[in-house]
Order: sequence, then structure tokens, then C-alpha cells
Amino acid sequence: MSQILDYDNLNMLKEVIGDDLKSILESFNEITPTVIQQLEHAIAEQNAEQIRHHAHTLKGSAANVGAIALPALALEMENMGRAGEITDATALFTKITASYSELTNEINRYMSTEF
Amino acid sequence: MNPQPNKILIVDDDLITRITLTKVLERSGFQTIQAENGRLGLNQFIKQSPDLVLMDALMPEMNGYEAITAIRNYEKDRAVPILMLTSLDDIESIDHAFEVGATDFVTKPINWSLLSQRVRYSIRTSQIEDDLRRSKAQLAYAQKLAKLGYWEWDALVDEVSGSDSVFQLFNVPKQNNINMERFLSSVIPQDLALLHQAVSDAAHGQSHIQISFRVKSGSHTISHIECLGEVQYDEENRMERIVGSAQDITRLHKAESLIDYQARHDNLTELANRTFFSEELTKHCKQSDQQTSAVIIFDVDRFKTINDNLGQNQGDDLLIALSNRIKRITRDGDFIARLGSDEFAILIRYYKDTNELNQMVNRLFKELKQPFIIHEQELFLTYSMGIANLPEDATDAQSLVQKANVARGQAKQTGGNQTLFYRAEMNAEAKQQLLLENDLRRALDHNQIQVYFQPQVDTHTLKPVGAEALVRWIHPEIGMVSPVVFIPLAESTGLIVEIGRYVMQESVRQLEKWHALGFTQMRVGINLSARQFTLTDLVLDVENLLSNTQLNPKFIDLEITESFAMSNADQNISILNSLKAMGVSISIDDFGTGYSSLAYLHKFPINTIKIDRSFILNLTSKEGQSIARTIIAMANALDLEVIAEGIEDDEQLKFLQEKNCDILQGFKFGKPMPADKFITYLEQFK
Repeated sequence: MSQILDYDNLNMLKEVIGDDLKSILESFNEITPTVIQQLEHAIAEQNAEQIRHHAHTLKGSAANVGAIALPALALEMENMGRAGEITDATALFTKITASYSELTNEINRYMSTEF
Repeated sequence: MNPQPNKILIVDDDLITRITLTKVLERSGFQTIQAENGRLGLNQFIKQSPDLVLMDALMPEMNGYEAITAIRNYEKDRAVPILMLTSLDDIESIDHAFEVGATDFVTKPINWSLLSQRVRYSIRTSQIEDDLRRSKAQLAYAQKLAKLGYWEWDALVDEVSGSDSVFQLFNVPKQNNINMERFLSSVIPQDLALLHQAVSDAAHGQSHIQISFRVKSGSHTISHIECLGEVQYDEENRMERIVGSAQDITRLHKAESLIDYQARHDNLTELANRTFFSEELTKHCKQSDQQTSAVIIFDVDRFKTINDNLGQNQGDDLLIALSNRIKRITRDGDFIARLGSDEFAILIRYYKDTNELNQMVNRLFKELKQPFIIHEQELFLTYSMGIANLPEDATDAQSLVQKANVARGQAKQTGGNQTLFYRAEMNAEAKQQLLLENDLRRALDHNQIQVYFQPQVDTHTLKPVGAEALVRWIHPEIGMVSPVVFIPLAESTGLIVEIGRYVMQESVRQLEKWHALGFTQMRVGINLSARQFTLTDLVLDVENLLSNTQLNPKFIDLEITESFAMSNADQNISILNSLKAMGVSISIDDFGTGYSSLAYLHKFPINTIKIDRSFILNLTSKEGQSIARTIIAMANALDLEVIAEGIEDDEQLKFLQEKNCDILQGFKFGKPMPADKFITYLEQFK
């Protein structure tokens, strides 16, 4: 039942900035795959600091566009990196990619209906 | 409303967040600048001077906390609001943010609809704070200018707090929450009671305080402070606190007490006068806990003569120049006063040892003797200076001044141009002098002042033609007091005026007797002292004298000394002219000792010159004879009568007869004698 997107927040943002929201969401779609790739790379290299950094960025930008599930998972990953206990990072990463793909779908749907 | 949009600096490493923030803020009319880490953020802050900063916490290359610390260090007195972007769940980072100087925080996920409001509100608050800080600075400046401060006393815990300026006014180090006693520690002890009374009145319901008192504001300076206060009470009418202002009213005080000021200052030189000096010295004597101090009193030697020669205005200029020099060469803490016309006093409040005092005094004396330039005229003054020490010589103001004066008097009497420290013997001498002075005051009433007469005879007939009146003091215990001793005393006390009048009256009274006895060509010579010339209206005195007698004024011969006649020649000539116009004769006494200017001599309305006895004594030498001859020849040339004094033997008589001197006086013909003896003397020539 975990909610993927906070529509209230998104609508609020749309109220404030109008059509500019579309470009922000497009930017999000454009940039986030790179962040995810960098996170995957850091996990492969077992670099805890890099894991923490990229997870933090993912958490922030996803939260920004109103995502709910993905920032929560990213925070979990960020904490792992900070603590240096990254044995479960690969398993968590799988959840993150799944959540991201759901989020992308939701965002695309939102964009197609709202703009 | 706002012509220049407010600039917001966004510092965040996440591009999406930056873009979103940018879009949101630009929609609300802000101008934005972006930076993707703390270092670039600081960079942009310095370059762009934003009105507000949105700062992410975690960033590579200098995180948010480090960036805020750097910004706060950079801006110093400005305080640009910085909002920290942080997760709501991260309490620690919020605390940390405030610690390093963040103004507020914005939680992520950001509430977009409120963000602009938050930003706007923060900017406005900071502008108000800025204005407040500015006006506070202005207020502080204004208070400083007005020498005004505010203070607050918490009566319950006895704590005083206040503005920086109030601590300056009270001359205590700035320190909050000090107690009342400490706060008032520089108030001068005499005024503390006033303050305690005011506080006590306040506790008893006197809700307004207005009080002025003095604060010791430097080693020797005192400021006048006025305090206004409002007392606050609790429900049970117990005093809770007093809130008030304090103002330095030293200048006001000075203005208010202008009359007081004038009463205590000499208005020519602006120095303290005698009254003020006494007050200050009295205060000093009470306060100085046995610390070594000195009172120096000095006057200008022969000032009267100098002043007469200069004239009133230039004499004043000289006194002003002298005062300024004294001010310049004394130390800050020393107290200077002008006690009288040319009499000054210096209170040396502290000196380490005799050596230091000696150095000070020598320097003082040396500096004072440097020439003064008054109206392009160079004047060299000398001084008679007396010094008394505290506590060695005396511990009270009156005695200190008296003793310094005794020393000064001694310095003057023994020739002037010197400094003497008071010695106990001086006091004995001065006491003697004082006793004598008191006796002299009574002498006239008790008929102790008598007039003696010494015969003057015609050079050729050797019969009496006149007499010189000579004043004598017959002291009941001491006997005959020499005129050399008591005339200066009479002059310094002003008694010379009465004595002089008495001598004139008595002389004329005796002259009337001689004429009545048939000696109708007899005359009498009366000495006038310099002080008689200046202290009294001599012309009026002589007029009174003449109106009370039937005698021809020409038989009255007024004698003035040559040195005095020449000291203020122009003025004296005019007085002598007035006297001459009344018909009296005028003689120059002690002629030959005063370096007369011949140019002046013939301007003097004189009838007679008296050759000084020293020349007669010297008649045994060729040189002495030649001087006497010259004087007689000169007098003849100017058509003046010549009297020779001090004739004791036949040789002198022979010489003077040969040179055609007119009249002779001396022991050879008769010593000075009392009036009745003189009549007996006269009668043998009948």
C-alpha cells in the first residue's frame, strides 16, 4: 500500500509554478537514471561514502517531485553508506530500481494527464 | 513596491532541487543565484550580496554548516538570513545549523506554497533587524554625543545593567549585573549619602527620582551626573526595579554655576582666585592621606613699578601671559590660582621626594624667568617664591598658605629673585613682624609715633633756616624702632597713609610755633613715601593741610626720593605739578643715588635737591669732592637750591662753604630732636 507519489504536494507545486512543473519533471526523468547508475557503480565498488552521497542526492530530488516510496528507500541506503554497513546494499538497490520504475510510470502518467 | 527584486542564493548539490527552488522563487518575483556546493555558495555570496540564502546541509566540497560559518565570518556586522534545507527527521542537523548561525530552517520535502512566504518573511525580519541595529547604533551615537546613558536596577537581586555609556558615565568597567555598591564605586564619597537616600525614598513610594551627584572621572577630574529614574512596584507595593537615564551635566553645571564660577575665578586670567584656592586646598588637606604635597606662593619683584611703566592694558597683558605660562609649565593635576594682583599660588598635589620637588621648583623658576614679549617689548621678570610642605610644615589650608607666604616674604625681604622653603625660624621672624605690625596699628592712637626735627642751617650764617621732619616710633617695650624697620611695615600694611598724614599735620603745627616765636623764614621738610603717592590722594591731603593753616605754603617742603621720582616719571611730574601749583616747595631727596636722567630732571617742578650723605662722607677723596662739585654746579645751572646732608666736621663744612652750597644739615648742627627740644634749640638763636 506504499504510496508512490504525493499528488497533493505535486499539485501544490503546480499551483505555484504552473507549467514549469512539466520541465522540472522532465529534468527529473532526464537526470535520475544517471544518479541511479552512479549509485550502482558505487555499490559495485563497495564505496560506502559514494553510496551515501548518491543515495542522498536521489532522496532529495525524488522527494522534491513528490515521490514518497523512493526517498524512503534512498534514505535507508544513505544510512547504510554513512554507517559503512553495505553488505545489504545490493538487495536494497534492487528495491530502489523497482520503486524508481514505478515512480517514472506515475510521473509520466501525471504529465500526460495534467499537461 | 520593490523596484529591486530581492536576490536569493540557492546552494544545493541536487540539480532538481535547485531548478525547482529557482522556478518557485522566480514565480514569486525573486531573483535567484545558484551554487552547487558550499564553496561556490560562499563565492557567490561574496560576489552577489544576496538578500537571503537557502542552504542545503550535505554537499561535497564544503558542506552547508561550513559554508554558513564562512559566510558569518565574512559578513561581520551584517546578518543576511540563511535558511537551512534539512530533513524534518534530522534534529541533530537542525541544532547544528542554528549553532553555526543559520537564521531558520526549511524542511524537506519542501512545502512549496509556503516557501515564498517564508523567504519573504525572513527578508523582512532581517531588514527590520538591520534598521533596528542601525538605529540602535545611531541611538548609541546620539547618547554618546549627549553623554546620556540608561540603566536598570533590579532591586530584588541587587543587579545593575545598562548601556555601555552609562558605565562610562559612572566610571566603572562595563560589566552586566553588577551590584549597586560596585556600580556606584566612583561616586565621590560625600555624594553617596544622597544616592542612598534616593533609593530609600524610592523604596518608600517615591516613584520618580531626580538626583545629581559627582563622579570621580579621572585622577583629578570630577563629572557632574544627573540621574532620572522611574520606580516600579509589585502588587504589594514592594519596589521591584528602577529604570532610568543618566546624563553628564558637567558642562550644564558649569553654565548654571557661571556666577559661582565667576565668584571663584579671576576674570582677567581665568585662573582660580583666592577663595577657590582656599576651598581646593582645604579639600585637598582633608583628602590627602599624609601624601606629600606643597603649596608654592610667588609674586613678581617690583611689579608695581613694572606695571606703572607698562600702563594698565599692557600690564594686564603681562599678567595674562604670565598665567598662561604658569598653566603651561605646571603638571595637569596641580592647582593654580591667582591670589592677588601679581601673586600666584600653585598646589603641588603630590611629589615623590624632596629631590623631585626641588627639580619641579627649579624648573618652574627657570621657566618663569624666561623673557615675556609684551607689545614687542622684551620683559625680564624675577620672582620671590615661598614654599610650604604638607604634612611637614602644616596640615591645614590656612597654615600652609600662611607659611608659604612667610617664606615668600622672606625671599622678598632678602632681595627677591629667589625661592625659599619655609623654615620654622621664619615663622618666629614673621611672628615678630606680625606682633610689630599689630603694635604699629596701635602706635598712632597711643601717641607712640612722634615727629623729630633736625636743624638745617644757612651755609654762611650757620643760623637755622629750617628743619627736616623725621618720624620716630617710640615702642613702649622695645624703645626707639628704626624707620628702616617700621616704614616698610607701614607701607606694606597701608598704615603709611595715616602715619604720613599725622607727620604732615604735626610738622605744620610745629612750623606754626616756630613762626610764632619769630623765626618767620623757617621751613619744614616733610618726606613723602612712594606708597603715599599711590595709596592716597596726596593732592587732596596737602590741600586739607594748607586750608587749615595761615602759613605761606612755600615754607612747606615736600621731599621725594630721586629713585621714586624717576620710577614713574611722567605720572609723578603731573602730581608734583599739582602740588607745586598750591605753592608748596618740592625737593629731591638722596640726590645722586638714583641715576637721574638729566633730561627728566629739568622737567620736574622742583626747588631743591638734597645731596645724599654718602657723597658728603666721601669728601675726603678727590673723587668724592669732584662728584659733590659737579652736583652743586649742575644745581646752580638749573637754578636749584642745594642742601647737603650728613655734615659732621669742619672740613666738610669748609668744602661746602667754598662751593657755595646753600643749606647744611647734619650732626654738626644738631641731631634730630623732639619738638620741644627743637624749640629750645631754636630759642638760642633769638
